[in-house]
Amino acid sequence: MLKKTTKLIPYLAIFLVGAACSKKTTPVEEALETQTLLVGIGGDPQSLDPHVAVGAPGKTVIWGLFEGLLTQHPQNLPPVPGVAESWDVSADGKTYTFFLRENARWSNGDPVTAHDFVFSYERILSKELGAPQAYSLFIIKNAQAYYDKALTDFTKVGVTALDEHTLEIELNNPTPYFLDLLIQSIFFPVHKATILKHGDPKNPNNPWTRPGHLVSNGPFMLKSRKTNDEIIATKNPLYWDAEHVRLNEIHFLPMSVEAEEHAFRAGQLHLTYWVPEAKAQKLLEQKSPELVSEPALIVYHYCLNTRKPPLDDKRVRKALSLAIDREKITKAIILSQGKPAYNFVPYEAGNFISSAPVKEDIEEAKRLLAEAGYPNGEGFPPIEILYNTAETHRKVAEAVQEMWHKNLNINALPENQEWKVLLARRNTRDFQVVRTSWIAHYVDPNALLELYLSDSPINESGWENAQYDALIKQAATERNLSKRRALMQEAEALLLDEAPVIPISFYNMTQLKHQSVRGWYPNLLCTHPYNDIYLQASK
Amino acid sequence: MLSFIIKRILEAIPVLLIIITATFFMIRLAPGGPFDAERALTEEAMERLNAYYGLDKPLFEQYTQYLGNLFRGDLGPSLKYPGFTVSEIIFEKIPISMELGLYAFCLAMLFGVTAGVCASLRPNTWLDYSTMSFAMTGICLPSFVLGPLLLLVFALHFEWFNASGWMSGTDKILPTITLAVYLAATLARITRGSMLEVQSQDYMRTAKAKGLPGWRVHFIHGLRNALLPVVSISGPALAGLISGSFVVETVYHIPGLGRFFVQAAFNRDYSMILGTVLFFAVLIVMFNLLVDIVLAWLNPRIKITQST
Repeated sequence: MLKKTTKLIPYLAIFLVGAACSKKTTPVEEALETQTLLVGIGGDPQSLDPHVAVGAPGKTVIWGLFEGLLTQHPQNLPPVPGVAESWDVSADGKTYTFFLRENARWSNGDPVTAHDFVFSYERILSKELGAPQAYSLFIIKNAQAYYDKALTDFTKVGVTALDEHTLEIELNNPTPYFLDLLIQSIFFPVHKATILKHGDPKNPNNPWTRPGHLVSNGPFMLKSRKTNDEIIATKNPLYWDAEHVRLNEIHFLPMSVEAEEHAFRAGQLHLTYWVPEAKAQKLLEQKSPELVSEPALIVYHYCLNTRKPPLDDKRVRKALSLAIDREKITKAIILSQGKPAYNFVPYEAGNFISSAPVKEDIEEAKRLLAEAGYPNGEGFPPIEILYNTAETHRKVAEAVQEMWHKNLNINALPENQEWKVLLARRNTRDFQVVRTSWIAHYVDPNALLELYLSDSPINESGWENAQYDALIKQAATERNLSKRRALMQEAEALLLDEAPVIPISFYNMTQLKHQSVRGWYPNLLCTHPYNDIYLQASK
Repeated sequence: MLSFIIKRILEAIPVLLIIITATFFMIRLAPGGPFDAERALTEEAMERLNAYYGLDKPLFEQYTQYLGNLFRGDLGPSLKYPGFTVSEIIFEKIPISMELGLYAFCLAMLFGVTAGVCASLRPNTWLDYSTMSFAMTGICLPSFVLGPLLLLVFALHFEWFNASGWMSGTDKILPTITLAVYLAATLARITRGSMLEVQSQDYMRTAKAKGLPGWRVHFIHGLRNALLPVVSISGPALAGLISGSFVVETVYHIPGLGRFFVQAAFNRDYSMILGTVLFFAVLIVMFNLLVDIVLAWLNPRIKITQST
């Protein structure tokens, strides 16, 4: 009996292996036939509502489902016609008239009209909805006043439907990057009747985005969605340019970066959301054709709480900023995926050159610290560096801790917190130094500099500077581009000198892309329209 | 028997109530809330959301309301996924975790008990030592090591399996093995110990003296009694396996309840956390009851009425 049993074991093992060995084609190979794109999106999106969604995972999906007045050129970003076929700009650069396509349709067959845009922008500007990016619309005349409830009549806001297919938008100032702004998902329209059918239009958790409910106007429409699992979008036959859309389906997969990388190697994904730092470095050394690592407008930085001593002293903040070796951190930790950030606005944001970059200067840092009353770090209370759980963040925090200790003789305590705790503490300003990174939403220095305006909802540093606000405001109305650039440079220099923020690295966007994916190009904003993507076997 | 079952179910009610109460208040103590996001919501939006989900009411009122809804079988809406209800999500995820858990359980039972019996039949021989070394390795090897190891070797190196997902039949092999190994190893050790203990019993000697064939002595007289401790641990083990393993589901990217449960806690999705905790609690209570019934059947000396 015993012998019989032991004899069975190798057979069983052979069966298991044999069952598995019948290796079939991978999903990526099968996708060539069906034109199904398999995309890793990092996390699971909370909402597919373009006005409410925050973060890359949701936006990656929304880009397939919706389309704004303009859309982005897949290769080099300039806005190209979307729902709007053409547009006029008034002589003063303040009034834009958009002529909407008559054949633009919602996925239920309704025409996309100018009224949909008016409804959408009114919805975004309702404080009750809490649209996280509502401030992007503040360039529109009276938009901020309506948002702040100083104005209750929406017809006074500069968004008017002249007729079914003509939309007029009036701005506060001539804004050179206005058309670039329009390609962002916050400016996408939503379907009024669907939202009203499912409840309060101003409830951010209105269930209209459920599969079966969602009506969209983009090249794809929502087919199915399982929580924390695959989201499937299928080609929208009613899309105005449907004949040029070559993909039939897109499968969006929320996965951790590690799982993504495994799935990619096993032929289960065409595109990953990200690549772990060490892995990217290795692939770069191997010159892997599948690794795409290109500059993007991402700044990895530390935000300082300027309302709490000792960081309420500008000299202390500047000293901390000067005592960091950004090159060392970038080379040793962030690796291939970044460049040291000696200033806040990357060069790629409209060929921006900083007028006052912060280089490591330990003597100056020591002098400033002594001037602030802490000669050689004596009497300086320990400060906390708050970061959310991730290997890279931990390493950066430890490196900064070490540099501050070595260069300034002060103690910093890296503190790891789970994401929600970090957010809660950051939003209530219960921190001293907190790790942050930011992806710009449009290619202009303003996309980053506006974060630290006194009334910016993202400015958690508590830093308020009237001169800075004035410079940014002045730049917004300046029509001469070189003067505008100079104002931006002056504002950035002030930001770096006052140091409510310590820039550390400019990140590259690093992804894995299967060779069969065509019509997909890396770009500074990390957004990709799906209209031109198709799959073709590599030769 | 029926009165025993009813009694046990009635006893479970206060247990579940305590679990719900503790969970309800504990998750509210955790810093951060369901609506905290990268960009802080406006106060108005927060108010609207809180009013929509009833989170603006006093905590105790929310608690009584939750219990009232629960009584009507309503676990509430998910706070993270607008438009999805908690029960809908649980019932979408649980078949996957159950399937994986059941496969792993069967595999563990098959290999664990067999290995344990084999080892006990030839104690202190190479067979015993090698089986028990394997079992010890299985116990020591955590799933977060074994999972990625199997994945690297069989999915990425030999390319026999997909690296992630839960679609085709072969997707189920690696996760099942990863999940089964620990239980199989534990069962092997317990079965061996228990079999050795049983073999020294008088009735075993009597059976041998009566001239019964060896296999009958071991498998009919011996194993039935030796299985008692195995059965006692398999109830909670089965409940643990089918309720989903966070590690295995994360490593192989399986959309089951285990991964979701942990994610819900990170999201501070209050109703989702409560729903899943309650679901696990019911599962464990149920399986313990089942174990008691099976034990009574295996060993008539255990009187059901006394075992409570």
